[in-house]
Amino acid sequence: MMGLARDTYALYVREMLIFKKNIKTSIARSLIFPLVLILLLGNMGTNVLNLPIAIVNYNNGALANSFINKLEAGRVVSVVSVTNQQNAISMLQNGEVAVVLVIPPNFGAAGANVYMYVDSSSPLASSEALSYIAQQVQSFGASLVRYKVLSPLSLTANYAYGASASYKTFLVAGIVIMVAAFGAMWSGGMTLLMDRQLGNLKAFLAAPINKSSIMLSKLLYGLTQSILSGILALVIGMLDGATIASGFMGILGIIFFMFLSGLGFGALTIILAARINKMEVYSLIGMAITLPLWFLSGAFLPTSTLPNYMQPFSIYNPMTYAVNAVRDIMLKGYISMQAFLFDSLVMASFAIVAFIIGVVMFKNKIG
Amino acid sequence: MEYSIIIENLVKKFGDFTAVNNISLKIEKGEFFGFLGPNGAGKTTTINIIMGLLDPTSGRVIVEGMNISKDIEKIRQIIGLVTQETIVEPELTVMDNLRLFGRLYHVPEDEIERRGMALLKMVGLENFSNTYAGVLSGGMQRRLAVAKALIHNPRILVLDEPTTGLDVQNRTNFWSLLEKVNKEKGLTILLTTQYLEEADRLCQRIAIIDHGKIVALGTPSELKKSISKGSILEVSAEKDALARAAEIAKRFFKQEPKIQGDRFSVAIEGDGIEAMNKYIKELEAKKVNTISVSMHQPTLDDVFLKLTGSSLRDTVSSQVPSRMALMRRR
Repeated sequence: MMGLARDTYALYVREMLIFKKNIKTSIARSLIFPLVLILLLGNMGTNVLNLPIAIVNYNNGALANSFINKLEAGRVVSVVSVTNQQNAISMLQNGEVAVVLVIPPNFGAAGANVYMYVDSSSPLASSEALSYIAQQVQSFGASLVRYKVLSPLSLTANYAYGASASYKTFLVAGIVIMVAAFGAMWSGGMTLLMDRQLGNLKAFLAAPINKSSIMLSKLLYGLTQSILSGILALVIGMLDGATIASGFMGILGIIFFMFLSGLGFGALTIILAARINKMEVYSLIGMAITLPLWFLSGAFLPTSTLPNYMQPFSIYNPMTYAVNAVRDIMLKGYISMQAFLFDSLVMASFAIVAFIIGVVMFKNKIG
Repeated sequence: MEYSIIIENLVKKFGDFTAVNNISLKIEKGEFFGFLGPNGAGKTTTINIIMGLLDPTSGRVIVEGMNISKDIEKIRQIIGLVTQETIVEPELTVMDNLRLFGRLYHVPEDEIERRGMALLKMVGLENFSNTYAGVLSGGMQRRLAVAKALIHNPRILVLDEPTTGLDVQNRTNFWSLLEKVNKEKGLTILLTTQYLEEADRLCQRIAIIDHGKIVALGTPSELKKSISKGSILEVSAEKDALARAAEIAKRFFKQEPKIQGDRFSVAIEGDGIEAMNKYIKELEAKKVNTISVSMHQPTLDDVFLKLTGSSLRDTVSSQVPSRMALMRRR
């Protein structure tokens, strides 16, 4: 056991020296992906146009009508008039509209309230659009009362978030995990394959070391790259306006899920590298595995928006749980222990199974 | 006699292909021993078996009294290996190369630093300890590879085609280094090569390997004498003339000439010059037009040619394109 730790350390030092030599390339690679995605995709919805909202008008006076006209004039929202509050709420729950506004009979009188129902899980209900509505309401001398509406619970995602959902935060949570998985992909298995092709691996195999140390050092290197890439993505996201609702403990939680993703996907790359001899094939299969996993994990859009036949792929996708967990941490002000433990358990099981298969494959095919 | 490596009836099959076909030999302690043969002869496979990287199909290998099937970890600890493909870790500095392998062979840290500097001095790289190994020249990389293989004070140094791809000057320098290591440190050295000059100059004994078999074993001069105590006559000519010249040579020297492409060679016993003059006169008398007639002392290539029916020079050069193709595929 001591020997394994010592040999692993010696090989990990090698990986880190190579990493240090190529630090600029490594960081550039870690930066490009989150930069492009967060800056381009994350800012796409900033100028929201025609956010569908339903208005239930119990006043029907001239003032209420001019309020609605003014609201529509900004072209930020497009208004659907609904006569019945119950119908409006069910439209909201079906995702037909993102916001329901209820104009009370006393609109225009002092102390009147306008009631707003928001499905805060909807990525469309951005804080910019909501503050626009609030501004209009206030300019008519009414105060706004906010209600949160829960979407019908789906198996794959629970979007009853406490904080107001910003699409940027929503997106950053997904990208952080994807980048962590990618980091492991391009370091662990990839460099193992390179070492084997160039012949460096043979020199290690001929040394009096515990062979598992070779795989372990690659995994550790993959983890280092995962966590570094993940943190860089998180920093970029936060500089661009994403927030972490659960504060410092939340950051530790996010790093914990970067760790589990890096471990699981790192082990997966060892399995790939044990089976595959060509770099091109490795890249191809690696992409073919990670890209669908990413899209099916709900990194871009809620998994509830996936067509029904894709839903099972999302449920059996370990990345879904890591993305969910990080999203919970970033969007919710509190962390539900039950959800956190469940997501951790799924990710840890994935990591352990991938690790064990990786060890066996490495022993049989390489060491 | 104490033996460093004993190989007994070693066989290695890959499916139907027999890479190593019943090899037996004993390498003495402190001996400089060479495996000479073309690519695919089974040299690297044999090395891989000694290092425990491949399991033999049958047979036994004993290294310094230990059996590879039982004590491979201990055996690895006393062998320094310079592999064919990996020369060095290109992205580490020269000293970090030594540190990495020192640690993998469990040498204490302070010992690595001390021994590392001494080794770098020995191989003439003491001014490059902080240079990245990848920017060193090919010859310097090979010398670093030797220092790297010696960092754990091994008793045996195994070199698998260490000079392939080196130019003549670097090769000669590298040979001097190996001779120094063999003499000063008293190491047993096992070297595989496809270069005749290399085997001839360095090795005390040579095993000529072809198609997985040892076809000859002995000191370079023993091997050469086994061909002829005299000289080797070589004739080249156009196709028809070559056949007629070979006919005459057969009658003259009472031997079957070995025809290789546009030339043949035949061993001459006794006074070579006189025999050659007579032979040339005979050729003129019979009006056989040759391109050249020459004579030289027997070389290892003549040994190889006699034993295998093909010249090692031809095998080596004809394999160059396929080696290039292999490298490109990487």
